[in-house]
Parts: sequence; structure tokens; C-alpha cells
Amino acid sequence: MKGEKGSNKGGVFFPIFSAKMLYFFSRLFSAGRGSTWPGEIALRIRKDFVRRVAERNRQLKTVFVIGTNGKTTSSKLLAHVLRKSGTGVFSNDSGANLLNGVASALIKHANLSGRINEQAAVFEIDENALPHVVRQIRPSAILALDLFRDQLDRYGEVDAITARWKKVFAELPAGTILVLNGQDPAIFYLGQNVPHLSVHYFGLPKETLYEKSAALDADSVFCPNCSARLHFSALAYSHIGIFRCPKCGLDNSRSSEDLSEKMENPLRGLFNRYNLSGAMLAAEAVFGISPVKFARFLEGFRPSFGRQEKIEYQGRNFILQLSKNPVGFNRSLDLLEDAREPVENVLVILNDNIPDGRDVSWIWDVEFERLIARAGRIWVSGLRAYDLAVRLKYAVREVFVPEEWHETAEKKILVEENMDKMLEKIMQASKPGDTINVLPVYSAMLALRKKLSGKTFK
Amino acid sequence: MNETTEKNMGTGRDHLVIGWLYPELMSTYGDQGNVRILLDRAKGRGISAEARIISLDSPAREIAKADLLFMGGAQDQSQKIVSDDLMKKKSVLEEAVKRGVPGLYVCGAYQLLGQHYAIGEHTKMPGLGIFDCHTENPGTGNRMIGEIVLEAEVPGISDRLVAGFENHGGRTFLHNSAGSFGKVKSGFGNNGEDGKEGILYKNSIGTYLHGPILSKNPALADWLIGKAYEIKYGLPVELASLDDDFERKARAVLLKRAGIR
Repeated sequence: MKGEKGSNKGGVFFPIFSAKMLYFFSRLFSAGRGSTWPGEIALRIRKDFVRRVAERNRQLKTVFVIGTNGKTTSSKLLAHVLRKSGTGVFSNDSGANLLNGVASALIKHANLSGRINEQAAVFEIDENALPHVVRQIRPSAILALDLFRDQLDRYGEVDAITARWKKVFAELPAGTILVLNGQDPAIFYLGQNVPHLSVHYFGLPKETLYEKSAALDADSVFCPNCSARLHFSALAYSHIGIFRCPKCGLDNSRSSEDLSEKMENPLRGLFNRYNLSGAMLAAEAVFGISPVKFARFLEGFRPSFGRQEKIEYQGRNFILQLSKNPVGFNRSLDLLEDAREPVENVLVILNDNIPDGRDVSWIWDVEFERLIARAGRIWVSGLRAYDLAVRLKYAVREVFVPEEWHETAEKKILVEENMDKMLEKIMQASKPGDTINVLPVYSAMLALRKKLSGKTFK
Repeated sequence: MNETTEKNMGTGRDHLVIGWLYPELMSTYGDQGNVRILLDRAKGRGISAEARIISLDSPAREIAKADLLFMGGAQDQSQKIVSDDLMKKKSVLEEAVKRGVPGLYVCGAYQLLGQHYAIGEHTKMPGLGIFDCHTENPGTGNRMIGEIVLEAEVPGISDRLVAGFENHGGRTFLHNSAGSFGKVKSGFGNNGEDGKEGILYKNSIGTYLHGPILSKNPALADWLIGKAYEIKYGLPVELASLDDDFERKARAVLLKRAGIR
């Protein structure tokens, strides 16, 4: 082992001390989100900081939550229930899901010699960061939710991520628990050739899946084993469903279980039913929490910020629903379609900052025709507002007859790139008691939340 | 002459078939936008248009029936499936391209129509050999990703500035006399070295500008529609101007970032 400077505690005292000081000062001067930099500092001091802390805390049962959509919600469901069950548990902050975010969470909960009192940790992990994080901290279980096209400029295609995960799974220690979405073809297949792991599949019953054919936002509609076109007998959305391969016989129809069947879902949307089903199966497989107990412990659960979050601002109700990739966005549209009241105002904010992805091509895979048909006015804002305006214009032309194109577009599509100015316009055009449904990308969600509530994060 | 005027005005008798090649395999990121835009901009001029999906189950003759062809980008597994299928239909596609049927071939499709695709030093996969170019992927994982602006070298296009987004690991090199789609003003282009982007062969364009390239470049969409009309009816067509205000403003964001205009 290399020389250990400034420490007699096996090399973690100094990084933890430095990073805890930083936490303290960043809070003192309210320097905003402190969720990645303490970890970053610790990792710069000791590259294997996370591994060292993990080795000192072998009691810690760690669950990684991975997937394109639903990581934050599923992690929160699982952590909430564990806490209520009396298990000491902690998590990384939403979005702080690279190694530095995990390191930050460890720092917050460790004492200066690196000991952690909690018995469990639930970490959401970025799709690409998984191989890197797994080398530092061995999870007891991995909960894998779904894989959709998302930020191609950053992540690459679904195939590329699947290949990386396959390698990670193959190298996991024997007995590691995998809780997989058995209705996402790529994820289902990841569990098929890992006999050394304890694999569980979650999914929803066929009666709850209404779609008959895969939408154009689907990525995995060909057999992950033999490349033939899969036959879906029912779909929830995108490529999530019950399938069979006509060529090699790969079949997921009898693999998945749904422990959430008998309970009320505290969250709206079919996609959240998958999040719930996954969290419940993980709770049972890893911690022995029965579905009945899970349902009881779930009482008082509140969704994460930016997920169906209601913020009152000058008498208006802003409802924020993070919408950052095609499949996620289309699910937000499901929620608006299911709403009982008419949808008068929708604010869509499209930025192309680094956390959003620089490439906004994905908006053409969003079913904006549904929004045009449903919403009274669509307020379009953000750095790439005009890209969105083009997309919406074509949606108008698809939904309405030519005589109505011009008038409808003028009435329904209101563009202002600057978010602050946009907010003023919305204020002028609305009255107290009105609801504004907001569909923002990640950076826009943070910025708008700050503006509306005066807070940066919870 | 009378008939020409009639056709040019769009009498409702004109009809264009857009052959959309392998949409469920070659539509990685918003590629479907291009088809929507082509259909809509044709209809906006009184030319009726329909998109026909040409995929694994379609007979090769469907390609010959199309007046305009579009094929988007793909993931690796999909590209392999398409390559295997298209090899069997190659002669029909090649005949259409040579006849001047306009086409837009993006990213993976552009690579596929070339002579070959090489990964590292040892793997070399044959392409369809329709475009006189080849692609090399050094296999280092270094991709060319970002916004791109180019000056199109397409005779007759009404606006030469084209802006979009590229994301590719392969480096494409044009051979001999092959002409590029445009000169790179900002971004990588074919290979990040020679300042060329894409290929123009007859009326077919191969390009790395992926996703909904036509959404910010309506002049390119109109050029494709105009060529399709011309090849089908043997007459050039005057396309009325449409309200492209949003399109211009969307493109202006990228031009400004690139320091152009």
C-alpha cells in the first residue's frame, strides 16, 4: 500500500475531514448544491476513497438503482420504506449519481474514521457510471428499471449501454441480487445468462397493458438474442411489454411478478407502477420486507422534487413534471391526458445545457400532437425554444385542418426564450387559482424551482 | 405549357411517394421528423404525399415505386440487420439512385451506402457500394459530437447554410471525384480533417447531420421535394414560399453560437 499522508486511519481521515469542512462552509455561505463537490474533493485526495470507506462498512447493504427513467422515484420509494421499517438508510442526492455523488453521500454519513452507522444505502447510479462505481463499491443488489434513448451525445445508444452493463453483471460476485424489469427486452435478456447471480424479474400483469404495437420511441423491438423481430402480445408504452421471439423462442410472458398488484399506487402514471413494482420486489428480495408491510410503510410517501411537484407562486399552481427524454416526456403527456380538468396552460422549457444533453433532436420523438389536442395554450421557453416551436407547428398541422393552421398556431404556441420574461407573460395572462403544468428538462426544472420557491433543493 | 402551369400550381393530381427505409430499425433520434416535414411541406404546396414504410418484409420493388427516399441512423445491432437485408435489394436501390430519385441518407445509412466500413485494422465490412466513399472507425471510442454548420454545395438549393447536430464514431472519406454535400464552417463533418461534410451523388445526399435535419433547414426539404417532382413528372416545379419564421430562428441559435452571421 502506498504511503498515507496526514492520517493514521488508513487514509480516509483526511479526505473525510476536508470534505466535511467543505460541506460546512458551503452550507454556511449557501453556495448552492453541495452534493457532488465534497465527494470530488475526497476522490482527488484519495482516488480509491469510496472503496476504502466501503471496506470499513461491511455491514452496509447497498442497492444500486439504474435505468433511463425512474431512478430517483424508485430509490426514494425503497429508501422511504426501509426507513419506516426501522432500517437506518441513506441515499445520494437526486441527480448526484456519479462516483462523486456516492462519495459525497458516504462523507455525509461517515464519522472521521470512516464508520457509518446506517445498515443500508440506496444509490441511484448513472447509466454510464455503473462500471466505474461497481469497481469501488460492491452492491448487494442492483435494481435495473429500463433503457430508452436518452442524451445520445452523452450516453450513446441503448445497445452500447446494454453491452457495458452485461460486462458489469458478468463480473459481479456470486449471489449478488439482480432485480430486473422483465418487460424491457434488453434488461430481461441481461438476466438470462448470469447463473451465478440471484435474478428476480418484476413487471405488470397483462390486463394492465393496453397498447398493441410499439411506438416510434421504442428502441428494443428486435430480439436481443437472435435479432429477429419480437412479437409483442401487449405493451405498456415504448418497448415495455410482453413479448416472444418467433425465431429463438425467447419469451418473457411467465417471468415477471408484480407485488404491487393489490395496493393503491401513491403516484400517478403507469410508469410509476413499474417503479413501485421494482422497489417492492427489491425490498422483499434484499431486505425481506413483505408486500403487506411495504404498503403499510409507504404511508406518507411524497414524490421527489420536480416529479408531480406542486408549487404555489403568486396564487397560481405550478405543477412540475420533469420531462427530459422522449419516453419520459410521452409519459408526462399521459398524465396530462388523464387529468380530469381541462389543461389550460402548459409551459414547456427546452434547454441544451450539459445535464440536459446538447442534442435536442429527441423532441421529434415526443408525441406533441397529443399535447396540441389537449392543451389550451402552450408556453414555449428555454435556450432551444424555437426548435420546440418548429416541432409544435408541425403538430398543429397534423391535428388541425389547413384553414385552422395559422390561427391555431398563433393562439396555442407562445414563444419566449428567456424564462424570467416568460414567467411574467404567464402571470399577465393567468389569474390566481389557475394551474400551470410545467414540463421542463433537468436544468430548467432546477432553475424554475429556484425561481418559484426560492429554494435550490430539498 | 398549359399543363405545366397546372402542375406547378398543384392541382391535387400530383402525388409523391416517400419511401421510408426501415423506420423501426433506422430511427435512432428524432429521424421521423424528417418524414413528417417532407410530407407536410409537399402538402403545403398542394402536392399530395404519402409515406410508405419499406422494411424487412417489403419486396425490393417497393423501393422502385418511391419518388423520394429517406433512411435514418441506427444502433449497431439494427445496422447489421438492415445491412443484411439491403444487400439483397441493392440493385433496385442503386438503380433508383442512379435514375436521380432524390434521397436523404443519414449517419448509419450514409455509411451503409458507401464502399466499406472498417473498424480498427482487422474488421472490414462491405457496404452497398452506391456512394463512392468509405468509412473508418478507429475503434478508440472517440466520437465526433456537436453542433455543425456547413455551406451546402447543392446546385439549386435556395439557402446554402445548413445547421444541425452530428454524433458519429466513423470517419468517412470521399473518393476521387465524389462531391461533398457541403463545406464545413463549424464542426467536424466527414472526418474532422478535410473540411468536407457528407456526399452528393446524383440527387442523393449522405450526411452526418442526424435527427431532424430538415427541421432547421427547410430549403433542403424543399430541394428534395422539388427534385422528386422533377424526376417523376419531368418538369421543374416552382414551390411557393411557406412561413418559416420559427425555423429561421431555431437555426439562428446555432449560427450565432458558431459565430456565423
